[in-house]
This record gives sequence, C-alpha cells and structure tokens, in this order.
Amino acid sequence: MSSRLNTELLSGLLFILIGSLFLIGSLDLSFGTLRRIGPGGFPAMVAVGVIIMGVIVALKGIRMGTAGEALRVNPSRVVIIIASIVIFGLTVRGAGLLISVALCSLIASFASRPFRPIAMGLYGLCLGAACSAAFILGLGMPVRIIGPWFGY
Amino acid sequence: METINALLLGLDQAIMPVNLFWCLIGALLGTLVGVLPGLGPAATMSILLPFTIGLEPVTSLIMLAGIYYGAQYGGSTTAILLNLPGEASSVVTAIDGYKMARKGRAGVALATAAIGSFFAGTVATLLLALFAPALAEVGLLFGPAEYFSLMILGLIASIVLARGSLPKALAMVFTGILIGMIGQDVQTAAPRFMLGYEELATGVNFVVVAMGLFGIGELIKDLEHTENRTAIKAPFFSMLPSREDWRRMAAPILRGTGIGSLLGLLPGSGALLAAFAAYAIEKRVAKPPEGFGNGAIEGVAAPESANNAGAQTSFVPLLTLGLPANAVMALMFGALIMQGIAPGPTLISDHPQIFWGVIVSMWVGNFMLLVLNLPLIGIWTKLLTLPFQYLYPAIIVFCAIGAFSLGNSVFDLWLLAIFSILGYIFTKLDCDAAPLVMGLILGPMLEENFRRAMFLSRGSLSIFVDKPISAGLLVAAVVVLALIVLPKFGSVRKEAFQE
Repeated sequence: MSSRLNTELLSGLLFILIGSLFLIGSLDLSFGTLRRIGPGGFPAMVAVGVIIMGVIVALKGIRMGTAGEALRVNPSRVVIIIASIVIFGLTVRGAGLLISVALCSLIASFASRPFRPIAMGLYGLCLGAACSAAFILGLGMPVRIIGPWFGY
Repeated sequence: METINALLLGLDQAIMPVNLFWCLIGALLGTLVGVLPGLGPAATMSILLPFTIGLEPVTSLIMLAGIYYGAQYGGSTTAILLNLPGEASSVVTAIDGYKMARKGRAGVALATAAIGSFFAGTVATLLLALFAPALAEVGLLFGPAEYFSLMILGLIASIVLARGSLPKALAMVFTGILIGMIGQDVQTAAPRFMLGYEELATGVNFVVVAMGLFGIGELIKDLEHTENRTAIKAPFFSMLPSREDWRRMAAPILRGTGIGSLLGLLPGSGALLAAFAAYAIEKRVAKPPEGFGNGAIEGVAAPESANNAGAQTSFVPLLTLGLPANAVMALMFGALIMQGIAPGPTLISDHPQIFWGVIVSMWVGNFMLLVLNLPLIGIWTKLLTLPFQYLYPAIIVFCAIGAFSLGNSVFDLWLLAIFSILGYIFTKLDCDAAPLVMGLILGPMLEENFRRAMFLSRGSLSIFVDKPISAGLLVAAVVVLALIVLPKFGSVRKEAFQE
C-alpha cells in the first residue's frame, strides 16, 4: 500500500464518502421550508457537516504526508469473524440453534492459533447445547433446537 | 422527609426478590466481563442488552446498571492483579495498584478499591436522591429549543473524552446522527435512506450498531494482540488493611468521592475524568509524593472512589433531563426507549418506582459486590487463565443470538456484520466509536426538537439564542468546544490518552 495513504487521509476520505452518500440520498426527499422542515432538510445539513469534517481531516492527512501513521490491516481475522456471524444467520432457522451455534463457534475459532478442529467442534456443540437450554428452554426464544432441515 | 419517603419507595423496589436477583446477575455478569480484558462496559452492555428486553422496565434497568458498576469492579480487579485495566477509568488504578500487588499486597489493594467504591457509591446515591428531583424541575421548563441546545451540549461534551482529533470526533457524531435518520420519518412517514429494505422502516436498532462497533470491533482488535497478553499471577495473602492502611486511605476516599461526584454530573465526563483528576490531586497533596507510582495505597483509594462516584452521578443528567452523559448512558437511554419509557424530566413524577428503584438498587448492588466480590476474587482470577481461544467464540455466539433475538429477524444479523466491519475500519483509522453511538441515539430527538422549534419560531433560527436557557446551554457548548481546541487543555487531554 502506498505510504501516502495514512490513517488521517483515509478516514477523511471515508467521511467524505459517507457524507456524500447520505447527501445524495436526501436529495430525493423534500427539504421543506425553514418553518416546516421536510424529511430531507436535517439529514442534508448533517451530511454537509460530515463532508466538511472529512475534508478537514483529509487535508490534515495530506499535509502530514509520509510522516502520518500508515495503515496496517490484516483482514483475514475480520473475514472469519464476519463469516461466523453470517453462517449463524443462514442456518439458525433451518438447522436450529444447536447446530447453528456450533458452526458459528467453530468458524470463529479459525481466527486464532493453534486451531484444533475437533476440540473446537466439540466445544461448539457444548456451547450450542448450553445456549439451547438457556435461551430456548429457559427464556422461551422462538427458534427450534434442531431445525426443519433435519426432518423435524 | 420527602426524600426519605422516596428512598423508601426505591428500597421497596430494590429489595423485591426479582429485582434483587437480576441486580445480582447484572453485577456478577458485569464483573465477569469487566475482569476479562478487552471488553469495556459499553461493549458488555451492548452484548447483554437484548437479553434484558423481556424483563420489566425497572428490573431491566437495575440489571443494566448492575452490569455498569460491576464492570467497574471487575476492571479494577484486573488493573490491580495484572496491570491490565479492564476499562479506561481504572487505568490510573493500575499504576499503584499493580505495584502493591507486586509487593504481595494485592489483597489489601483490592479491599481498598472495594471499600472506597462502596463508600463513594453510598455518598453519590444520597446526593442523587437529594438533587435529582430539583434538576428534573428545571428540566420541566424545557421546550423544543432548550432540548435542542441541551443535546448539542451533550454531543459536544461527549467529544471531550473521545480519542482522536476534534474534526474526526465531530465527523463521527454526524455520522451517528445520519445513521439514526435511516428509516421512516416520524413526521411525514417518508422512507429515508432505506434502499428499499422494508426491515429498515423502524430504523437501525442501536443495539446492533453498538454491538458491532464496541463488542465485535473490540474483539477483532483483541484477537490481533492475544499473543502478547501474558497473565502474571500476583501473590496475595491478607485481604484486611492494617490500621495504618485505614488511616492512609480515609482522606483520599473522601476527596475522591467529592471530586467524582462533581465531575460525574458534567455531561461527557463521567468516571474516566473523575479517576484521572482524583489521582492527580492525591499526587499533589501527598507528602512525600515519591510514594506515588510505587504502590501508594492513596493511589488506589482515590481514583477508585472517584470513578465509582462519577459513574453513579452520571446517571443524574440521564434520569432528570434525558441527556446521556456518555456512551454507556446513551445505551441506558436506548434501553429506556425500547422499554417504552421516555427518559426526561417527567420520569421522576411519572415513574417514581423506576427512578428511585434504580437509584437504591445501585446502592444495594454495590453492597452485594462488596460482600460477594472479595471472596470471589479467586474465581475471577482463575477465569483469566481461561484461554481466550475458548472465550471469544462464545462472545461472538452471544452477540449473534442477541442481535437475532432483538426482533427475531435474520436481517439484524446482516446489519451486525456490516457494523462489525465498520467498527474494525474505525478502530484501524483511530476513530473512536463512542461519539457515533451518542449521535445515533440522540440524532432522532435532535431532529425532532429542531423541527418543532423551527415551527414554533416560524422559521427563525434566533429562537435558540432568544430563549435564555437555550442560549446558556449553547454558550456552554461553545465553551466546551473552545476548551478542546485550546492548546493547554488539549495537551492534558492527550496525556490522559497516552495509555
């Protein structure tokens, strides 16, 4: 990654992007009058605020140049953690809480070393059983323990 | 007399078995997560919030409050035993507390922290009971213009303690406000920024945002640092402070309580500033000051009393004016709204059992922690030896189940994933998430009051400066902003975040 892209510049650009997206979104809405402000008026004002702040932050980043802190990311862990949440979402209704929790926990455990698949798989099942007992039997969460995918 | 009756009403609520039970559970869960490094009170509360929604409003608030002060106890435990402040407000405790532990006086340090916290909690509870109703009466005079200005002050104040530069923190506040605008407009029912997703009509649930930004975001960051976390076991024998210890801790506890109670009241400061200020003052009055940094008991007693007092009194602006003073209070604010209760000056008169119940329960909860925690310290420290490898999958599972159970909707899980990514990006870019959450929670009310005020004034912005209370609040906001920008205070702020 280019060393000119320090954290200040990147966060400035991110804010400019966020502000612009919301500003574009609010253009479809009525701004109303000052007396009767429409649904678009306030968000548009705030979005302009984000853009202005983003420009200030980005300018600071450009001024710092290579002196600024360079960004270091290791996205593999993020991807794994996000995947574990997504898997939970995809399976919780169909497979039921037990399996869904076990999968979520197993996938999450990929993010640390050493990775022991069998131990972590068993641990996930225990976690799933504990969660099923606590949340479904205990707190009445409206999900199946073993879902319809298994013929129940 | 009136105060005593009110406190009795609160005691009535607080010692109801169901409330007592959830207070204990909250305090223990809070301590547990406070002990585990990496998750602060805001993260803990956002992870556990979904599970409190099924409870009665007063019970759920009691439990959430328990998580908050429990986390503080837990945080100071790890600060003393392992030099790992579980949260920001026990950073200064670690300086002398850990030194005490290294000298074999961990038990005394923990006892001092617990005693100081309990004393401070008691005093702060009494102060709350005495002054909150009066403040709420002031709040009753507030119209839309005053509320708008009050929230501006609250948002600006929340930036004081944010990491990173001022423009960044402001940008985060604004971003939070914008995220709060997603969903149907309250006044016109026009869909806003929904991108066609009907699930967004009621807005993005703040719990999902807080969970993603605080909980999972922090967790991913921790995963990157697990290698260099070594648990150093400090030996500790005697829990009981000696006569000399008692003599030395008395004055610092009193001073810490006073400073903490005052600073806690200010929006934006809360427990963190209180602990820093108390430590700095003790260092100044100590003679000889050399003992500081080498295991001075004063260096544990004062900040621990101050952060507990500050934590307690930071409930005042929330419960009387409806103004959350920091991110944790903002989560409380959100929890109240989810329970269908509007936080604000009418809370005391409309729901006295909630107001007084929560206040007295904080005292009861602190007492339970004092009695229970000291014997349980052995268990807490054992937990630390639990490998993080087993811990974090469980935390992620809790987040997933919690987010899902908010509305039994898988959609919330997709949102959780998105905000977790965003949380990771923000941490990497050194943008503090707390101002964003403040903006998210206050945003909708900010807009509503702005629009109502503008309607009342027939479109003239001067309403915000013509009304004396509103003008005063705005002046206060400008002063706070100036303080941040001024180089002298700025350097102090930087120093506080060195850790």
